[in-house]
Amino acid sequence: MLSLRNLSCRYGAVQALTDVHLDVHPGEVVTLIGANGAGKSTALKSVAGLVHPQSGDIVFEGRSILRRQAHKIAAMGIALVPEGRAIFANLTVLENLEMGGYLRTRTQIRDGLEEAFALFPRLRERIRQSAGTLSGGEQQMLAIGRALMARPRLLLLDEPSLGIAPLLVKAIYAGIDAINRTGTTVLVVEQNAHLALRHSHRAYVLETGRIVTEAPSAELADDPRVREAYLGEG
Amino acid sequence: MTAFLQQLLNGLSLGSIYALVALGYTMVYGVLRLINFAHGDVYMLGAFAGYYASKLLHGRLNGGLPEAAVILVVSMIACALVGMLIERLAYRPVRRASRLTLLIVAIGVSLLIENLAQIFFGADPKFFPQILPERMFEWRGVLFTNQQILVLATAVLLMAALTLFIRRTRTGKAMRAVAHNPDAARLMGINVNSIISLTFALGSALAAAGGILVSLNQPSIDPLMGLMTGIKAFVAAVLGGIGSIPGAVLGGLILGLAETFVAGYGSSTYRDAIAFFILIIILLCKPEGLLGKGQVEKV
Repeated sequence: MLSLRNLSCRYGAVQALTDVHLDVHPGEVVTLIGANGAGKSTALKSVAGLVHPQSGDIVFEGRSILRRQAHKIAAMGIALVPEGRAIFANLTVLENLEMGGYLRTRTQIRDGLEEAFALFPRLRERIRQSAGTLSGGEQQMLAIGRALMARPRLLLLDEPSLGIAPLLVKAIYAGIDAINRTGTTVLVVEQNAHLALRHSHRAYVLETGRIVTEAPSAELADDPRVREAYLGEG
Repeated sequence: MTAFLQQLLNGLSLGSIYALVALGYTMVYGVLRLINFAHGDVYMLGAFAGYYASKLLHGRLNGGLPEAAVILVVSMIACALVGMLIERLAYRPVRRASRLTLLIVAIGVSLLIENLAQIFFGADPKFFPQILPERMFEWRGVLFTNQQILVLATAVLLMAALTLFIRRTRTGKAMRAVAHNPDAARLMGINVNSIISLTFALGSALAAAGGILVSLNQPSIDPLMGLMTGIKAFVAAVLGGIGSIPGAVLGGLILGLAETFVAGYGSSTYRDAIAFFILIIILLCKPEGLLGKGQVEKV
């Protein structure tokens, strides 16, 4: 469904990604784990069209999306929940969700709202509230709900657990599992490897811009090197 | 009391013109963080567009409100196109450059328009046709003209329409989303370039309306008429809190009232100075403006 091929990306003198290969198949939850600054966010931003890699290719459903503009990539069925959530703090919760469905019809938006509220009931309680007044966890729910309003076939999540109370992290990952069960393919980037490996089918490990390991998540969770480096054991 | 009401009416009428022009500054600042110094010149172009439109129409409409309305609409459309053109040709190519570059480009565009206008329209003041003959009304000693009423009514109508558009429509909400976070807006599938273009179009159309409304009252127009009004509207936008739409309206009204009252009760010599006096006070006491939000750092 999605395939990164030989992808390399540089910001000025900093090499963020080197020769990255990554595949996501339809229906999967794939996670990309790695330390801070390993290039995880850059990989997701490249797919969403927010940064433009210098070489390699990104193919989505058979078509190269490497040089496409972000809003056109969104229209193709890819939604990114960015790091730090990037909700529109000056808009209400409802307006944020409506923006998620910017390219859809009124009826589709109405259905989408019901689905978002079913997934995260807290959002319904706060519907008229300005989104800037939500807690971090609620903002993350809103950001995910907003991305789903576009009915993406591929959902990209950048550090959905970052800076969020543990109880809400649970709710958010339960939500991600539920989204995947409805057939949406998910690529999630996480620093919290425990969490990511428990909620995914396959995993890639990124170190200083290179993919060093790729394996089924359950296998990787047992890998002594991964346990030592990313799960804080050994 | 009568004198007070009289000044109040005159002040509101002047202030609503400032408000119309200030809206363009604040809207463009909202989406681009740019002070569009050419905005006052678009206001001037609005007046000239109306002038030439009325010449073309001459005799075909019998003056009065319908003709004024046609001229207003033609001028607003012409300036909307000019605004989009300015954005496309001057600002978009340097959008990713430093703020200082953008600012210098803005000053350059302003000078270019002023000088082109002097070449094409001539530097001499032109007499804007008296489409609506002035009629005076009196109410308990307060004198007002049909033109003042027209100015107030049109300004209120346009501002209400803008507010509805921005609050209620999908595109209006997208405009606010772009103002808050353009990258996140792109992820929603919003074409940020079109939204920015539209912002320029709307702001310029409002400035054109200001130009026409002023010219109906004070019929002498010239290529540099946008300088002072532009600066004052900019002060109004800063006073209200640049980036805030209700702020621009509030700032415009306050400035208009302040000017009229200073001229009415003090000395008209200080009429123009009051704007700058107010600007200095705001910058010292409340730099974010009356309704502006303190700079929220994006995390």
